[in-house]
Amino acid sequence: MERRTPALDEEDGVRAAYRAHGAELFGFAVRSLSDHGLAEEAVQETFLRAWRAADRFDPSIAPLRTWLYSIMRNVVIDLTRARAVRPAVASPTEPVVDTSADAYERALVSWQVEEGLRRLGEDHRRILIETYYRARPYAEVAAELGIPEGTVKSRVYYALRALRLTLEEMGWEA
Amino acid sequence: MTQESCRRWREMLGAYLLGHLTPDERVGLEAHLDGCAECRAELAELKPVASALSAADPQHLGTPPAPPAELGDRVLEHVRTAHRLHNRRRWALRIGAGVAAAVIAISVAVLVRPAPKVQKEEVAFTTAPAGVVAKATLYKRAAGVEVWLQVKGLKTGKTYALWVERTDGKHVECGTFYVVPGIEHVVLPSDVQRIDTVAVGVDDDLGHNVLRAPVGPPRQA
Repeated sequence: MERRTPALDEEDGVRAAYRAHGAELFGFAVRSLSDHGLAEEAVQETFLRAWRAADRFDPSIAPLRTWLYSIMRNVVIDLTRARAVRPAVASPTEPVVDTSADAYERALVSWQVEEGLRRLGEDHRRILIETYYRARPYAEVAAELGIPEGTVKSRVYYALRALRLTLEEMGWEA
Repeated sequence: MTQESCRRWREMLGAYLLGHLTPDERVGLEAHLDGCAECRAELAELKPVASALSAADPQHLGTPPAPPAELGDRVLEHVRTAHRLHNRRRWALRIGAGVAAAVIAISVAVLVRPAPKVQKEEVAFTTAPAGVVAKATLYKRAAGVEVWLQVKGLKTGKTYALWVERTDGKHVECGTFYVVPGIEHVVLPSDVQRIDTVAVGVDDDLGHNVLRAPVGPPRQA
């Protein structure tokens, strides 16, 4: 029988999955929980649940990365709810947390787009930051980068195409 | 439409979607789009990407926080601990997997038909360490008893296993649960019939018994 990667129900499989996706999941957990300690807890629990549910993992349905994110979804929601119901006296200044699944989905979309932007080439990322996020005039950006204004425009187009591909590779569906 | 002029227009699509074209450019591009299905298709494909940009926070585009170096080891340790538990109860977990599948099937069934009346009963834990308060409710289901456990005082971050003891003395694991602050209940199914159930209990991740509640013979319906 042919076997490409060790199965997730084995220690090697968990190790490989952590190596491939652990850092990214941790980054997302920090982003959505705003707490390093809880984020570590979330990552541990995600891999534990993945190991437990290994027989339900089917790469033909969703890639490992997508599957791990879907497990982490439940873990993060559990942890967020748990934090929300902690006695108020424990931390009276703690901001009100949005525990809804909606809030989680929003955080996930933000994270994915941010991760997609991080994976772009420097030229493409920069052009989107300058023209879109900083809303700077194309002429100003062109002068700063020493390129014609028409190139700024076309670069925005190629940057969006690159981002589309990157997001698709990450399993994003529009 | 020649390919060359198409490319000129197409390269404007990004700025167009972001609202960055001059009015003249916009009018020109829209006229082109009216007559060019290919460019319209490209526009449609890029539109969701352009809208998604607003979801990102440019403050968060730097290098994301890296996990502590030892987190990988802790993940594996966590799994190893659960594995020890798993090995001890492999046979029980196999049944558990079947039960999980059955539960999914039942959940689906529940969605499409009115829930039948389920017999339930509360059981009290006679074994419980100091500081742990627990209560269990057994639901008699066709596939076996389902245990609703409410518990306070277990160690946060620890994994525990819930089991049902059969008349032959065997402990059939219903599943494991992980203690998260603020979440005080867990529902786990078993494939043990009510008539075969003599106790329910909870073991810690080293297999030591923490909670046990004897269950009397079923009431006559």
